[in-house]
Amino acid sequence: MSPEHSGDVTGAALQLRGVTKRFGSFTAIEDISLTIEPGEFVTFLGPSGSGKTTTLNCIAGFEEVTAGEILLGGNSLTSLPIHKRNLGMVFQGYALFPHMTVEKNIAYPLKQRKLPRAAIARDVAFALETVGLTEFKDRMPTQLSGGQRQRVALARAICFGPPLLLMDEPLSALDKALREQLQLEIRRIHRELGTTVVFVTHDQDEALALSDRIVVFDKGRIVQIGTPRELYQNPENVFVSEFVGESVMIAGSYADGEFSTEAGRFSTAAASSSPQWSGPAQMMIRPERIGIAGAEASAPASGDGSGDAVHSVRGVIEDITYVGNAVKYRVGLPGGGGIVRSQDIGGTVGDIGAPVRLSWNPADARILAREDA
Amino acid sequence: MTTATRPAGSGAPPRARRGLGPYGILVLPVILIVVLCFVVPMLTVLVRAVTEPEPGLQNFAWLFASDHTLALIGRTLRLAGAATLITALIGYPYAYAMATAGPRVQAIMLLVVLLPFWTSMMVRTFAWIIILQNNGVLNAMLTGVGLPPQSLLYTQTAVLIGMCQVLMPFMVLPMVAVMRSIDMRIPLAAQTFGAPPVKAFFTVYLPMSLPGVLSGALIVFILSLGFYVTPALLGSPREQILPNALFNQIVDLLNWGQGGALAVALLVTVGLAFVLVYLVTRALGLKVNVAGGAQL
Repeated sequence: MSPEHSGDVTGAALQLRGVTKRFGSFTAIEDISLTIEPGEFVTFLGPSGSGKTTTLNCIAGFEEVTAGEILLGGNSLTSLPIHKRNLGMVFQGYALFPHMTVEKNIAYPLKQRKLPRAAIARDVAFALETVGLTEFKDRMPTQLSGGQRQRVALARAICFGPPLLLMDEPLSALDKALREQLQLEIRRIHRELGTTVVFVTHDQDEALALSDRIVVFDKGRIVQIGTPRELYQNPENVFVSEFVGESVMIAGSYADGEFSTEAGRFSTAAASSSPQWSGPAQMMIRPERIGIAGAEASAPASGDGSGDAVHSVRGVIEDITYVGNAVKYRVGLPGGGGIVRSQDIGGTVGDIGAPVRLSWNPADARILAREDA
Repeated sequence: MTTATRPAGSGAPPRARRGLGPYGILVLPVILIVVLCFVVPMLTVLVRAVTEPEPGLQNFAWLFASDHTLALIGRTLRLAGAATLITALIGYPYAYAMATAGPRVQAIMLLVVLLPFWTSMMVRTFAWIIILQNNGVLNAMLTGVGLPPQSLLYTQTAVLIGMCQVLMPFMVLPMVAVMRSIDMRIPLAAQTFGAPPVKAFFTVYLPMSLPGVLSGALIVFILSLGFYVTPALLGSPREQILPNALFNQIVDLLNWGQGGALAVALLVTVGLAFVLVYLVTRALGLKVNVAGGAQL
């Protein structure tokens, strides 16, 4: 197992089949099954305790799975010890070797693979160049900034051309500007190396920005897998819609193509999904799909010529946040509320406490089953 | 890659203000005690070493000319070295187990290691006499399982056993302090990158815990150079070590001159130990705090 590195390393497919991990009577993850394509960038997204890190630990071998199987490139990892899995990993907090220089840190995986000295020197130089730290190779980790340590951790994880790169909240300790810069670099490195990446984060913006696909975890289970756009536009449940992006939610009940709330009845005939079931439900609309106007404004007419009336509802402004290119209104509605985003084109809709009217195209509303009901 | 060269979020932390400020006066009592009870008597000993019975360096000439004193110094160093080595070898696995144990087990292990601390020196030493004497507990056990009895009491081995027990906490506690600060993801990272567990330990965990080993070793070595009661009670007068010879010279023979020279020899040995550890740590790029709270 001494992978000869080159610039065009490609990743391997990762398969999880019914992976379950229990600690005593506590089930950390249950029946996790998914397939990640070679070279794909997949993010595990979820709140803390959702099982995303446990799943990663099972892949890395830090936890023994209670049941199920993990396959990398068709070969089972499940019973392999940690050091034989041949994975690249960027740890939370970096886990650099503090008693070694940057160069020695990066050479460590190559030395374990018993590569000839010339090959080690070449691969370390390549990794250093990839992350832009060539002139820092003789520094100790303590002499580096957070962003530089992050880059060393990344270089150490990719230098031996691993078929799978695991990243455990690698950017959580960095400030926002640096985080966004490193996100771009991670994307670039992923494109250049073509390795399969599993990236764990609780930050939905990070997940949306980086991933080919996102796996959303909640309470030890996968709740939805999809591209960032699918998750944002077509969340399958309330948890995903609230965890990925902002939204306006209205509680009510749904039956036969009609959503009823205290504020009125809404036909879902034109909605992107008109479910077959009936029962307690939430209607979800994304903030940028909603128009907001003063309460005295009359309900606007439908703009798409479908003949369907635009849905509208009255509410009260609860909070206003100015974010530069837009104004975010937190609006309270009968049976719900949420965030509405309005382009800042001068003039205001009203102050906190002012009554407003929200309106949206029926096609932009989604009906989701209410889990708490 | 122009952006990569810019150290993000760098900037040295603000330097601590020099001087002590208005509360500096609170340090005075401590300084006074140290000067009166430590610096003054020590200088007296030094002065007497070069003035008694007459001014000159004859006491040091005696020190280096006599086979007896050189053997004394050699024996003392060997004993201190052996005590350091043994406490390190026994203490390291113990400290590792303690640092990685849960809080309950950790508290119990701390209690066990501190137990000799809380026992009176005399009680502890006489307990060893009872265990080690010819018809003692140890020999009863040995003969009980059919092994020949050992004559351990009043030997260097008995001294070593007694010293190691007393010195164990000084070795274990600095080790635990360092080991507890080690992020366990780091040795895990070594395994992830292809090192089998044993190799990950020797290439990553051991070097990272070395500051604790060094500061523990320094403390134990220096303390064992000054051990008096244990060697006096468990050892043989024919195999004296420096502190006991020193005591003889000054208390029994009232020979302040030669006693002083021995004291200087002891002091210089301690100083050399400090210099040695300093050089080792600097060569390895480590920071060692001799007070025990070592860090990397």
